[in-house]
Amino acid sequence: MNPPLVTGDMLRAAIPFILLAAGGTVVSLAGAWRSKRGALFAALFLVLAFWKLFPLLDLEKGIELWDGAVVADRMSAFLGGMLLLSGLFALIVSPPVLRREGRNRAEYYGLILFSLSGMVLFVSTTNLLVLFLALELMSIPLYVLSGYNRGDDRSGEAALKYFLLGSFSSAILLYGAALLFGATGTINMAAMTGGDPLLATAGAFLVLTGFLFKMAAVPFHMWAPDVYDGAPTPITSFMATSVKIATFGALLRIFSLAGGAANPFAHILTGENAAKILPWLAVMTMTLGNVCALTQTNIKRMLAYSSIAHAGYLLLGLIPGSGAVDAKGILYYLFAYLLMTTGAFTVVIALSTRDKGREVTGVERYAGIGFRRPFLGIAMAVFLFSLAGIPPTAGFFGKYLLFSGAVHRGLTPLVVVAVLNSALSVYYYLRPVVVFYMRDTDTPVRVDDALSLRVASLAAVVLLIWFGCLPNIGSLPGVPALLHWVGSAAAALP
Amino acid sequence: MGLLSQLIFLPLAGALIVLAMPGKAHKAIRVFSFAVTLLLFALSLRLLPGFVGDGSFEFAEKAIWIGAFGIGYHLGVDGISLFLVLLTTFLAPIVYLSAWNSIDARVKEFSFFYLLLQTGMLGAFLALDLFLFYVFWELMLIPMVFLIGIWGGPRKVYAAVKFMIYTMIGSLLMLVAILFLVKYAAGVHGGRLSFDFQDVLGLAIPFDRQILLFAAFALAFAVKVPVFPLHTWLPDAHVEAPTPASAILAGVLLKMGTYGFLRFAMPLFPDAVHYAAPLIAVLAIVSIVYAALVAMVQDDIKKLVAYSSISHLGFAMLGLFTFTVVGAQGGMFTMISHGLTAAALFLLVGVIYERRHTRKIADYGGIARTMPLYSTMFLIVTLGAIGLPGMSGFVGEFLVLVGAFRTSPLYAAAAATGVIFGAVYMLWMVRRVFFGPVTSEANRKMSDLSLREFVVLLPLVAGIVLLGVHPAPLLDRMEKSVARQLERAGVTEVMSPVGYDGDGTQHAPAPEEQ
Amino acid sequence: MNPYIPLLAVVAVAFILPVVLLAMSSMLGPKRDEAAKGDPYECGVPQLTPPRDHFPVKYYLVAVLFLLFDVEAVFLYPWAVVYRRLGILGLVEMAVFLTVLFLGLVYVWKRGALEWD
Repeated sequence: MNPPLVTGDMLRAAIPFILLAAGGTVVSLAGAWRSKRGALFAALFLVLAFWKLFPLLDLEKGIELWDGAVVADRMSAFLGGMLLLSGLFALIVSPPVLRREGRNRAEYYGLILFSLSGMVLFVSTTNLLVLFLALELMSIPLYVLSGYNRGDDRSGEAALKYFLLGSFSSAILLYGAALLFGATGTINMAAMTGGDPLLATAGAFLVLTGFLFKMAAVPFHMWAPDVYDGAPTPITSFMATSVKIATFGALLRIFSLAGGAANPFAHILTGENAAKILPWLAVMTMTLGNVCALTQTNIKRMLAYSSIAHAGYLLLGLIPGSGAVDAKGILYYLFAYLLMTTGAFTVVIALSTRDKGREVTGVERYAGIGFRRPFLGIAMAVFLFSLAGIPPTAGFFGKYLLFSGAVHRGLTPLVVVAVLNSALSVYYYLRPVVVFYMRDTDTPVRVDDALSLRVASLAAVVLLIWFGCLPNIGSLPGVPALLHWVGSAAAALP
Repeated sequence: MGLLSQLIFLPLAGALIVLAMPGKAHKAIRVFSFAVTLLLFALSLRLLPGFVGDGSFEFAEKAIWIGAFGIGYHLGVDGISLFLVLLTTFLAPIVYLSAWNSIDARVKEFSFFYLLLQTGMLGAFLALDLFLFYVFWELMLIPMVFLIGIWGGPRKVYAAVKFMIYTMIGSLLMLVAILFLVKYAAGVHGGRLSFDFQDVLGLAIPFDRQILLFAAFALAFAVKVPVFPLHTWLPDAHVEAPTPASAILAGVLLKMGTYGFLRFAMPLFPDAVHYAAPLIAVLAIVSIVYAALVAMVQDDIKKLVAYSSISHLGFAMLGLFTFTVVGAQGGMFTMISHGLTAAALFLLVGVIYERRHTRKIADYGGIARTMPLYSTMFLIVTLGAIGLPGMSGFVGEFLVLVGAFRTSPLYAAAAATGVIFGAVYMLWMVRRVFFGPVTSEANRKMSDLSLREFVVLLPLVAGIVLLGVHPAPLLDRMEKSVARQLERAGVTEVMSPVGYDGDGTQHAPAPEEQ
Repeated sequence: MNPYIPLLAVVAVAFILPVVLLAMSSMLGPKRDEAAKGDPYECGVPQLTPPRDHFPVKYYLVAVLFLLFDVEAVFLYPWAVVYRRLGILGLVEMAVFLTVLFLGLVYVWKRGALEWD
């Protein structure tokens, strides 16, 4: 019996992915004709994908195709939406940077679309093979993009480092997938049960290791500062946010399958000894990230370590404790993290200059910029305070959700460690603010006043404060509405 | 929008409008911001006629904010917060006016942060929802950090960062405690989440948990008060802060700590409070005596006033932890009185600093001859601060000592030495600065108070004297609320309060209601 | 008997045999060192150029492109074996695959990667 050629469900589930992949192809091809409109074309495809993704937010019941190879439900729709938002920010903030360097090539945007298509697939599958495919599809364009600044040897170093370590982690993930398949005889993670416990646990751990590498969790974080620092800043911003969203999104889906005790991933979450590993990982990740960030003078490296610390806070949500994985907290936090990190990097882009082919992003030269460029200063302050988790920003609300969820699952000691970490982080988040507002200098500095940079940071500021404190106002969605979406996305998981 | 919401959001709206004004229009920004603060004060006066003072939360506003998590928008004012709110709004125009000339750079940003700070402080005093309280609690921190960090002295960055880190560590632990408390309350109320103050009251929390929760709250509040040994940020912050920020910091912000103890920490964790009371009372006494001794050896007037703040706030803390209505009322009264005297002292120090750009005691001497009006004002405020009978400081300290005597004469005796030391260091400083021969030529040329400075200081001085001779209106309105708050903290034998009539004679204690 | 035992035996033999052979040759063979024996050589003739010479980067490009389009051909073989069973869907899928690769070829051509100079 032949399967039906193409069903409506199939199209609905796969269309955002197909649109992104097709967009990547078309935009890259446009590059062959030296098109200067790459960002515009890419944005068209992206918006189209957005439009096709939006109805999926209301799906009553998830659509599962080809044995879990592609799953379309409210979870994947919400995560996909965040990923596309991250991609959209990248498309908006990249052109000024590329133009001033005379490197505005359409391929750049095509690669972003390819990477996005991989991420969208990554968060909507329970099939190990597709998972691996999606991982490579999202990673390989990022390796290339990290090395996009060909004149800068640090960019090359970043690309090579990311590529080598990334391939290594992909191989580990693949090895884990092989062990899982060997133990259980299926590549559909939802259907995995039983099997040799040692083999299955080892497989699950190896798969988890691949994820930990991508999210830059300790002890697999070494690449992050160098890659974040060396990559072109818009790419740093894009991968800092989207890769985290994709990995945590996919992990949420995988961990939520572990409800049955016989699932291999249940060993990680609830196994006698194994369950102790995640809390330690979380504590180590957040502490190391924050402590290392304290001494950074380069703002990109500082944000890199801060992103490690945020991975630590997010890991808190993956620890089941006496309950289940905290999908709501993670999703809300990811949303906030997306806005505040993109925003902070956007300001960094506006303030970065190039010296002999090298990108210079030190903060110290921008003393007093908060008064000369009031909007930039306020925006940066909002982003940094949000990263530090100070109300009334979405960063605070996300942190509140994560911490409160953890307290409810009986993890109060971990939360105490996390808040002490937050207090520590205030010190380094405050430093750029101190430089911007509390030091004076007369040295003229160049600031990129491109409209698109302003629009991007304004949007991030407004959304951060909007979803940090405002209730629903009439038909305008506020915090409760976002909570509702997050909740319904979380409810789509088994 | 209710009156309380108007109070909170008026300065916020003003701040946003200031943000939209052109930065060069200093005059317009000053006039506008000053008008906003005046309007705020006028608005807050509308609280007085309708205020009953029966210990309940009046002018209450309650709305759902984020329903799924039981986060509400709940405001209310009782006898405890009423006068703190009035103090805040009273100081707002005065302090702004005092900064008319001294803040001549970045007026727009200054006015923005100043107005934002008012919103944060008023919100923290009026919030009755723990989540809302936390939001405002953090919100008032940021503008203060900027006020110190931008317009401060040479070591402003150090002082601002230290202030921020100290406060953040305390308040983040309080956040964990709030989350835990709400979870516990949800367990009691059958799973219904609520951050409302009244919903988390009266839970029989096991003692070991209570101790930890109380410790987290107490740390956050004790840093703000500040209680020895958590006080080290305060001298730095005060010395570096510009005059208006100092005045607000001492006048209002420090009261957040003692207010937090009385409003939240004490009633929420009665067992733990009683267990920890001796420790806190002793720390309060150490604060009183230690800060007074340190103040004595300061050579910088502003630092001296900063240490005297620690000493006076120690009195307020001691008053609360006597667990008597008299003592707690005294503590509250000390807070109000200190709000006036400390703000006035910082503004007065600012006046001579503007003229001579030094705050060293040794640089002055004999300026009573060159600045008679200024010296008179300074002397009145000093007498108010050291608690001369008939001045506002006396009433508070006296009531605290009465309360302390009922609890433990030892406390009272130890704290009383603080009163003596207080008189010593203040009067010694006054003698060195104002009397004796004029030592420096520069001091001879100093001009006396300008009309603006006089207008700024007059209401403060009037307030200090008025509260001293006629404290009854405050004490009467506080009484029931303080008593109820102590009752929630598990003080079963409520002592009869001491009140004063206008003529200074004692009246019979009113029968306790409940 | 466990079916994996013969496999284990093969592994064991595979390890033992080279070890034994190497050991025997080093024990039994004569050892006479001469200068000429240490010289590098190319296919039996003396070396003409230094061994660490750069290859033009174009070779790599060609190699990569060859690999890419070679894999395309490799995919066609298994597909051809079962394409009757895959039916029309298989045809469509292969058509999509080939189209994407063709677009890749167009891109490579247009960018000039196929030009030698």
